Amino acid sequence: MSENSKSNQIESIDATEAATSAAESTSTRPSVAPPVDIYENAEGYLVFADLPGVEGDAIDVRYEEGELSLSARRDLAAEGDPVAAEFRAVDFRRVFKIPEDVDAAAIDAEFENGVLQLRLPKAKAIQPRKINVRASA
Amino acid sequence: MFSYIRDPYDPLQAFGLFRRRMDHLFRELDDVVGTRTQPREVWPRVNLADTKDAFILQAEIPGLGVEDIDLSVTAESLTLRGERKEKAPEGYSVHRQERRGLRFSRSVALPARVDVERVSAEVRNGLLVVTLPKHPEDRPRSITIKTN
Repeated sequence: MSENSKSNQIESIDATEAATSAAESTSTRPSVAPPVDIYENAEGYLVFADLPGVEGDAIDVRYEEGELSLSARRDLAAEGDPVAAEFRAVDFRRVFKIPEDVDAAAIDAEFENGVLQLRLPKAKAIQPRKINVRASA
Repeated sequence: MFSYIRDPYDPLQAFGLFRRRMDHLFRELDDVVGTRTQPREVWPRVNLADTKDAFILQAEIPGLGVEDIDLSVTAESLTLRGERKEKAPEGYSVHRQERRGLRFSRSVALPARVDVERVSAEVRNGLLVVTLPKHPEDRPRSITIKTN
């Protein structure tokens, strides 16, 4: 792998470390990293994250100084006595370092069927520009 | 886990050791190359609760809608089938792909009989919730104990 492509990698920052910040230290809810897909083209990045059982208003997406952080709170209706439990109420958390500048104001988020979809357009300055060549008549 | 007792006089022991080493090697190999095609975790993960009158099953099915799920119920079991397709957007390069596409079929044995006709299900925010009312004969009855 060339050095150039390496510097363009999106780094995942240890979510458990990030989640044990002061604000979360009193919480007994476990923090888990949701599975994520990240795609890129010349215009921007596309991020998908599986957040089953989360309400749309319990999702927090932040982009600051090249870091994209996702957090979401999942509360589960606790009806009856558990017979078998393979998942539980958790805080989903994931932080990524995005190598290129993103136009923070233009980030778009959508939540459907428990999947969060983020569009992060690259800052105009780094987007390839197509220059129209005028033909002189 | 089983524990293996070493018998220095057992000539077949070497084969057992060889087999365990090979199993270990295949598991390692699976970790490296097999993660996409062979999900090692169960999918979807489910929770089952008992509310005395009904069982409530929840399953994590992110990305799937009602039309992608095939749910069938008998008096004593429930089966979920479906497929989650990998939808890589066109014209993009991939940085990471952790949300795998898969076909799944999962059966859950119910601890008591349910009333199949009255089972209901809904999908909300990637969570399937199935309510399975218990068969009238299988509902717990509280018995008054008479004293003399």
